[in-house]
Amino acid sequence: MGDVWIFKGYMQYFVMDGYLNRFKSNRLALIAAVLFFVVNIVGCTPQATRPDSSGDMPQLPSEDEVKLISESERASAEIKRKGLLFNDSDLVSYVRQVGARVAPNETGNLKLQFFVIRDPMVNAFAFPSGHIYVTIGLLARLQNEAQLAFILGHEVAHVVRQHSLEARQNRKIQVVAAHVVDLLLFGTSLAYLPFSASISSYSRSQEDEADEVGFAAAAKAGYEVTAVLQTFDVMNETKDVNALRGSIFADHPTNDSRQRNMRELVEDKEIVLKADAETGEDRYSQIKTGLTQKNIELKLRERQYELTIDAADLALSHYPEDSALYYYRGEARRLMGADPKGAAREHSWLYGKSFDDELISEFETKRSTNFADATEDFNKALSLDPKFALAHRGLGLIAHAQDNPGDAITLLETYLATGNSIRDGRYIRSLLKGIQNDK
Amino acid sequence: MTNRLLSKFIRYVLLFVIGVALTGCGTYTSIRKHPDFANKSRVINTVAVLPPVVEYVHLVFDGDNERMASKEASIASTLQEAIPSSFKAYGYKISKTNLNEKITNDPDLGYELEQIRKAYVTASSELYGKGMVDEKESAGFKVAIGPIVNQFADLADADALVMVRYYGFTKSDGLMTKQVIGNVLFAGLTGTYYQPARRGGAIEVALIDGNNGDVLWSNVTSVAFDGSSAIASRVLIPLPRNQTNESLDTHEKRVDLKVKDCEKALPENFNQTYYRVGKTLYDARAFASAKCCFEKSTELDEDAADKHDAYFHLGMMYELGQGIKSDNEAAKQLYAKAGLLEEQNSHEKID
Repeated sequence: MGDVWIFKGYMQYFVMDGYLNRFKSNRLALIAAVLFFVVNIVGCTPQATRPDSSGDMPQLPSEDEVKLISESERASAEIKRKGLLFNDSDLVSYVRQVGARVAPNETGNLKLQFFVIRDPMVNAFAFPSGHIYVTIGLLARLQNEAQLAFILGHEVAHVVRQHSLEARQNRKIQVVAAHVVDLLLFGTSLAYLPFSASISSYSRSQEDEADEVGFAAAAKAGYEVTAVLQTFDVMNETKDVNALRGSIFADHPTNDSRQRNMRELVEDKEIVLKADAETGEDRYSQIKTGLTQKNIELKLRERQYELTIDAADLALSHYPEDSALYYYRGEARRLMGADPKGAAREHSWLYGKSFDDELISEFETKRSTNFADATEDFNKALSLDPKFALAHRGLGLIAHAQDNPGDAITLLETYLATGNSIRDGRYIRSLLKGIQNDK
Repeated sequence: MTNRLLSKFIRYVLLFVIGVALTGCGTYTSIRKHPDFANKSRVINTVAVLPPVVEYVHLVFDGDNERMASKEASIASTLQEAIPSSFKAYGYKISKTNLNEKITNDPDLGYELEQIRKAYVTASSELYGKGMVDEKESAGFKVAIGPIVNQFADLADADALVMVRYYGFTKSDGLMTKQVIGNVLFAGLTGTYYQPARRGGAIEVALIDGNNGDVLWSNVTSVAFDGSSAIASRVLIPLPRNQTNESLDTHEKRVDLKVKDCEKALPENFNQTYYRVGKTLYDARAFASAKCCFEKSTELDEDAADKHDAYFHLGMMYELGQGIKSDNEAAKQLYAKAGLLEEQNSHEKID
């Protein structure tokens, strides 16, 4: 297994052509796994299991439990240290309120805490310590409070039913599987995934149980079950969910069968429907307004160009006069033109294609189209808001990329003149210097 | 497909052992240079070293591997001192801004740093996707992580940022046994058997332009010597001296005036160990004096760590022919004394 760990460390150099290019490495992972684990599977030692506590002896936490909690605490600290917590107090307290509605009244020593993660991927996860995380990407994608309530209820169920502990004990026997998961997840753009994968990966039956519990909790809290069931449709329509291994909604057929199971619970009247059930859509759309832009901004920063365009398109259908949305879409298109390799890498990740020269050259040929579309978007942003400085930047960078030094200088200087809030002044100034020297 | 993947795998193994393997393949290198390195490096005076990324794992038989937090912290703090001091020795000025402190106080900065690190992971996969390259190819890497570096460069008032990544591991006894068997299987497929190392890892250092995020220079090397400041020397050996701040001649003269030869470099005079004095001389490329100091260190220094580092540097000098004729056999013996070749036959092929 050690060698697999080395793989983890080294896969950036030797195994993967890019961190998003996970699919190709599947096969490699498999080969490596087979090579190095054949011996390990055969003759696995018997597992230490939790001793039966009988009689009135106080039940001490097992070694596994202690280890799991300390791992979770370390992971939580790391998430915080990496600046991944989104500290918008209105949003966080809203999520906590919804969480409290679906959490059981009694959780013993366990203290449930809800957090929002600054990540544009659609994901949610829980640590056995009681920390439950939802991403900005998820919040921006859901349609109403009922869906959020269900997802939080699902995560709460993992925690209170101690699924991590069960999974850990099973996983020790299935070393191979666990390591392949590790391999796939290392090198993703998600700083927290290596942890969430090792601490919060569950079996299919645990997921089903969490669905059931979360669904019942949401219904009991007064949420509309039809709205909850639509969570799976939303997930199936979300491109990046399918590309994100480790996400609880990654798999279409599974999503469908999960939805079916839950529908059956309603039909069999195992879920109590409340007469005054609500979707909470009004409250949700209030918090969602600010999130849309944040989510798009984060996607762009992660170099998820296609996903930025999709999210901007979706938002533009609601807010067609928003200059920032045009800017973000334009910037994503500009970057696709300027960075065909990055665009190809994203594409290969999203659609499971191989990341090769052919794919890159496909994006290279689209360069001028992308620049033209971007120019259109930047101009639209400026027509809606003539002071939109970043649009000048975008236009200036396109002019530079298309060897038009005159326009590039004017536009970039306009951008620089707009003031202090500019974060990349150093880059733009060095670029201007270079352009002027070349002239 | 399978062949290609397998060959990639083998390449990784090769790189992994190359640092200590002493196979004598001088034409291949792990160094990466921007095509315009010579020009760009001329305007770099001050560098800021970003807090290093350190992962240290104890690998065990049942796969329940554990991150070793205290080990990681101690390696990080060693590197945080050793990397700037090496850069300084190569003629760079070091930013006085305490980035660690600023990041601790500001979660947004922590997030920005994470973004830079992630962008570097992608850059690194482009830089090292090919593994070792021919020396001629090594200066053709135009990889950038973009203007996101601006914020830190401004904050530290530095011309360039230094990215440091370290991965290390140790293995339990049970795992060692299993791997020997695993590697025999591997040998059956490839004809090459590698004795697994009990501990090891790798360090990667990159110099990044603070204006546009171009990776100007980077290198990765294996380490079996975890936690020692010597790993900073090792990975930075090939870094060209900065010519901006001080010419090499002046620097060497200054050091030579201070320490004419080894005899005068008695630790009493400097309140330092022989190793420390040797290291100063070594960094100044005053190899003959350095060699003498390192040799004295191995006999006279009291601290075992100093002795180890001295052996390590002597080993490097023999391996790379610095001031002496290159001699792989001698280097190998010195590395062994440095504790580097803990597994004596760790890289020998069994035919």
